[in-house]
Amino acid sequence: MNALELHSISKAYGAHQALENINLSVPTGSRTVIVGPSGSGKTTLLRMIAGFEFPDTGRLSLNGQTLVDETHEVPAHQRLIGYVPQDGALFPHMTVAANIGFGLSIKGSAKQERVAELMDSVALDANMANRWPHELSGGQQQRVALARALAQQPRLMLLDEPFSALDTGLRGAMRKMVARLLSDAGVTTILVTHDQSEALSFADQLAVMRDGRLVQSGHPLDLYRYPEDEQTALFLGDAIVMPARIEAGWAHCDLGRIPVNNHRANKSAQIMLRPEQLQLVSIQPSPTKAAGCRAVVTERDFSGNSCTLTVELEALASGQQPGRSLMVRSSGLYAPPAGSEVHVTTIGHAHVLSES
Amino acid sequence: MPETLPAGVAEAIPANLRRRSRGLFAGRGGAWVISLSVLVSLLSLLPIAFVIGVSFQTGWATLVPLVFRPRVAELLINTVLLVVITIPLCVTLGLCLAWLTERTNLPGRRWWSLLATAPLAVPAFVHSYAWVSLVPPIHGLFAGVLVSVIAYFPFLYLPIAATLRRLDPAIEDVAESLGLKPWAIFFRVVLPQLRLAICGGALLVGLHLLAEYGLYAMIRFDTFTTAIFDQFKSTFNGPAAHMLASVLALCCLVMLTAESAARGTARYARVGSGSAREQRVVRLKPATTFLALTVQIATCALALGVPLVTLGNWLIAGGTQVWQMDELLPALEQTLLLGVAGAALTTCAAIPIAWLSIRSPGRLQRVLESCNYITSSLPGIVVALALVTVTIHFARPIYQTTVTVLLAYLLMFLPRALVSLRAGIAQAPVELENMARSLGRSPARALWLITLRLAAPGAAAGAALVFLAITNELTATLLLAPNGTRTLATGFWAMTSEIDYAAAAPYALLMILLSLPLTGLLYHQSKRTAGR
Repeated sequence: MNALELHSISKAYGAHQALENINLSVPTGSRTVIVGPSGSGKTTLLRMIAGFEFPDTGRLSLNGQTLVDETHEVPAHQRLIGYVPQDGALFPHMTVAANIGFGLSIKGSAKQERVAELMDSVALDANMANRWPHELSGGQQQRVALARALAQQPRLMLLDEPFSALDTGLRGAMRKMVARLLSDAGVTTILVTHDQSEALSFADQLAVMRDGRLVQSGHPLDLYRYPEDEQTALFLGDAIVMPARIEAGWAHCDLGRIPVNNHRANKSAQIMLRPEQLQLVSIQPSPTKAAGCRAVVTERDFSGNSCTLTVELEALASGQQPGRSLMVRSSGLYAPPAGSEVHVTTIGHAHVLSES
Repeated sequence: MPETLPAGVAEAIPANLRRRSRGLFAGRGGAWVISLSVLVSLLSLLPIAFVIGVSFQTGWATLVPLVFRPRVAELLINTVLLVVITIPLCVTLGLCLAWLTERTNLPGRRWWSLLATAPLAVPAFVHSYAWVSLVPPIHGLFAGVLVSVIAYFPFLYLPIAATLRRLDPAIEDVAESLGLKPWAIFFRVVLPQLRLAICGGALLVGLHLLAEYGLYAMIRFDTFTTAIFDQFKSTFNGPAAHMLASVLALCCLVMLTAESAARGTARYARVGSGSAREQRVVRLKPATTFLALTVQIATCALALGVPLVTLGNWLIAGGTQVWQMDELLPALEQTLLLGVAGAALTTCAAIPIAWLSIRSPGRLQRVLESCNYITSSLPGIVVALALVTVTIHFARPIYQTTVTVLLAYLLMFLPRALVSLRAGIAQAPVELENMARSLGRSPARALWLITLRLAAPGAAAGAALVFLAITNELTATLLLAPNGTRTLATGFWAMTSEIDYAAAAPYALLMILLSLPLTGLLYHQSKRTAGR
């Protein structure tokens, strides 16, 4: 059962096409993340769902109710959609309690109880109720904004980069707290972000946007492993992309023969591997033929728990230009030093990218 | 607005266009806001149109002898000398005081800062009244420059002090780490960042110098404004006064252009985020402290001491006799009535333009705004002459009525309301209104609960500034007010014209008392914009 349905939504500002033919279904109770570089149209799309902007064409429906189509539009205040913007947008002239209670129609002690309950649910101390927004830290402001949006028991929750203003340590903790809170409450959620690791960790469903178009959507792991094209592959994380000749389920490339998951017709194509799919084995003294190919470590970038190595593959035939440089992840403690000779082997399938 | 279009036309408009125009109506304020701002701006062009109109009407043959004659040259020399001597002095004094109160450990610097703002509470013509009573023979260019510097230096002090407070200390740290000596840091790093504040303040002082009548009339220093006034009194609404007004208007436009050229296009904003640190405070040596205190005390003695002592003397000399309640109270009442009505009218008229400039800035809005700025930079006497001429010819029923006076206030003081109002509306970003709508409030409720509540202080500050300007306004009120109208300013003027300085003192005192709280507000605002 889908909560939110977007059908061929388009929007232009003058000559600039902000959104182009967007189609997306958001299952009830799920967490969907829309990810894309800045200027890709993701915030415009979110504001359209909230009802702050209207599409030029297209249809938008929530739980079967049409919110926007060619003939009519439901205004923002009748949509019952929660919205938490990047900076929280707390009302500066109201206390924390008044902010949280803003959307509640109940009055008196019932309201107070509900506000206290909401504050508790976002782990805000009860004695903060009478504080003013400018007296709160960034993380606290975000919690108030979240509680305020949850107060009206929204049918859908929209989060517009709510964690990006927080510092790194807090960001992860807040993300976990929000994810748990929203799934406990069973609220369907859409999060917009430009941070790929945040997107991958928060999402049940991931949608990648670029230049106003939705390029791919699906389960985060699927998108990470099987991106449509090189740009998406690189946007979601480091990737090794190289040309290969595909033949009967195998890719022949600089790394040798690698199985592919989605073999197309026998022809040349670009294949993609994630750096963690490569493994380095130090060269054995015995002349037994090891799998993979020989390479030399040229650079070692140590960053504590992990280490990113750059290796240069051995030239295939003498007299040729030096081999391809690849990025390989290794555990921080046991990485081979620069200059060591290694064998590069691969794990799993390579993914064949479509031509873009 | 599609709602008002005939059915056939509405259908002919593509869906996306219809949506967009409806979005504009709902979200950004829409067509009625635009039409209102256009209307207000067109009205504000009236004085300019008058200046151009009379020049054409007078014709080249009459115009040349009226403009190119020794009297005009003499006035022009006087005015130019006044401007080129006074402005640099004001800049230097303002800069000195601002640096001392903001960047040094001068004893009592908060008090000095307040005292440097306080002269604004004393109307310019009361300053010169004080000087004339203290040193009766004082007159001419020297007197003009002296009193002008004293009356107007706070216009430079306030923005320079506010900017000094806001500068990023890290920039000065970097300059020091690059090997600059303190003096070099001041001239190469700090001073350039003060350029906008200095240009803006200098423009304000310059426009006041061109527009002021009472100050110079009292010390018998002839400028364009006093000459126009005399001309108007002797020949009423003749071409001679009109032509002088045109030349004066031209001077103002030249000054506006010069300022915008000097300001340049550079932006001086703090780059990057993170909270700014406290400004560094320079420790003064005892000798320097003594010198600095002398400067502060001298400035205060001249700018506040002289008016207060003179006023006190006249009040004591006049005794209870000068408190003619049957004349004072009606004058106070008139002033308050005109002030409140003018402030309300001006603030309301500024709302559409301020709204547009925050919620949908664009080329149209910038043109509209600059129309209002140009008119308000014209001296009150030009605005008044324009309104006299236009009402006599085209709107006889409102000639010599309060309506015309209020109209003049509107044209002259609109930008004061505009600036504060714009800051107020900027306090309420559209995002907060959206937030309220997403929490289930209708657009009208969201506007009321969020935007209006947050913009109210800005609107109130704007209205207060206009009120302050009106209570001290002399020139336009003298020219335009219906017979029998007597405000505190015109009452004061009538008394001094009869050389009854003692009887004028209560009027001056009341004007100062009325202005004091508003001057305090101005001071407070300049602190707040600096983030304190």
